[in-house]
Parts: sequence; structure tokens; C-alpha cells
Amino acid sequence: MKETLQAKNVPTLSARLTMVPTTTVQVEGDVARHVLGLVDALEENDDVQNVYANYEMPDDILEEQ
Amino acid sequence: MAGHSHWAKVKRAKASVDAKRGQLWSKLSRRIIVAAKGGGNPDDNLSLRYAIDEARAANMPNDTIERAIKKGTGELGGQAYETVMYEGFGPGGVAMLVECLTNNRSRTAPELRTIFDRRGGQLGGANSVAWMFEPKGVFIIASDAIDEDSLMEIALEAGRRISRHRRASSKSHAKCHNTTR
Repeated sequence: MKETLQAKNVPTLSARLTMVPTTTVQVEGDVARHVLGLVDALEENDDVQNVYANYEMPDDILEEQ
Repeated sequence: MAGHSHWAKVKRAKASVDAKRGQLWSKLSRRIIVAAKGGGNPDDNLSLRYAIDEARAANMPNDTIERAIKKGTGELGGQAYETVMYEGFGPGGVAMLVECLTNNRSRTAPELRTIFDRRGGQLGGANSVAWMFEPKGVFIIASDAIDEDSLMEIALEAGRRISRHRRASSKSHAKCHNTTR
């Protein structure tokens, strides 16, 4: 797909392969913050390349980061 | 002027930024190393090309990139890294897939287990959550670069489906389902 976009001169700002969840879980408030804390702690580990998760949370909690 | 060292101040701030950047670079290097196992030429090796693109985007110097490629193709002596997916649950029952590149599984697994345990989660066994995820490509395109219909056409031509299309202020974000997987 990337090649086709480039061939048609559509400038892509970024492209990557990712794992997308088929179902999601709603979290908010402190639980949401704990989830993000876990994600951060995992990403800090040198061996970890990517963390994929199926949470959905209100934008304002994400912005807190 | 006595006791006023500009560099000492700069050094403190710079050390923290450099440390973060170094950590990012080692992760990106690992990705290059593993991708390069399939061939050291980015023109022939798509995952290598993506890995190099990401490294460039993070301002990694060319010779660092070159070195990583050589480690992957085996020109320099190196260690074998393998990709391992770990799975677990986070707080609230959130399913998490942790993609790792490690040269030592028996170090990585306990480390991850500790992180999960400390933060209200639990490391799970194989396929406890992996079935909930599917691989897709994510493209971020500026919304003034193209309109939605043309984008759909291009996707069809490429034999792909766009499964989700989200507009966010100045960017248009198309998720593309890879039909050959």
C-alpha cells in the first residue's frame, strides 16, 4: 500500500504496521491512569519494542501525559 | 565570572535528553538488526526499509544505522535477537500485547512479569489475548493532500481495504486492512 501511495504522489506523514484490537474495553479515571502507567513502564524496558492494547479512554486523561 | 558554568547547566538538561534519545535509538537499532537478517538491501527488504525510515525520522546518524544493518547481516559479530510476543492483562481487564526484541528470553519474561504484577496487571499465557488483535497498516496523511474518495480508489487499486478513516484536525488518518494476510 505504501508503494501505491508514493507512486500516486500522496505524501504520507507516517506509515507503520500495528496490531489493532477487534474489541475494546472502556476505562476511565484512576483505572485509566493505571493502564497508562503500565504501558509506560513496559515501553521503558529495553527489550520492548511496541505495546498494543485495547483500551478506550476519554481524551482528557490521555492529554494528562 | 566565578562559579557560573553555562556548560554545567546545559550538561544536566542535555544528559536527560541524550539518555532518552539513546534508549530510543537502541530500540530502533534492534529493529534494524532483525529486519536486516532478511537481507541487507532496503530496496529488497520491506521491513528493513520501514525500520530505516523510522530510524531516520528519529534523527539517528547514518553510521549508526549502517552498523545496525551490518550486525543483522552478520558482517560484524553479533547476538541473535528474536521477536517474542508477550501477552497479559492490565488494570480494568485491558488486553495487552507486548512485542519484544530480545537476545535473552529468560531475562525478558521475568522482567515483564514484574512490571505487570507491580502495576495491577497479570502476564498471561500464549494466546490469552493475541486472538483479539489483527495486523493492520496505519497511514497518516495530511487532510489537504487528498480527499476521501480518491484515497478509497487508491486503496482499491492496491487491493487493500480501508477499514477505518479518522480525521483529526490537520491530519487524515486511514487504517488499511492488509488483505493478503
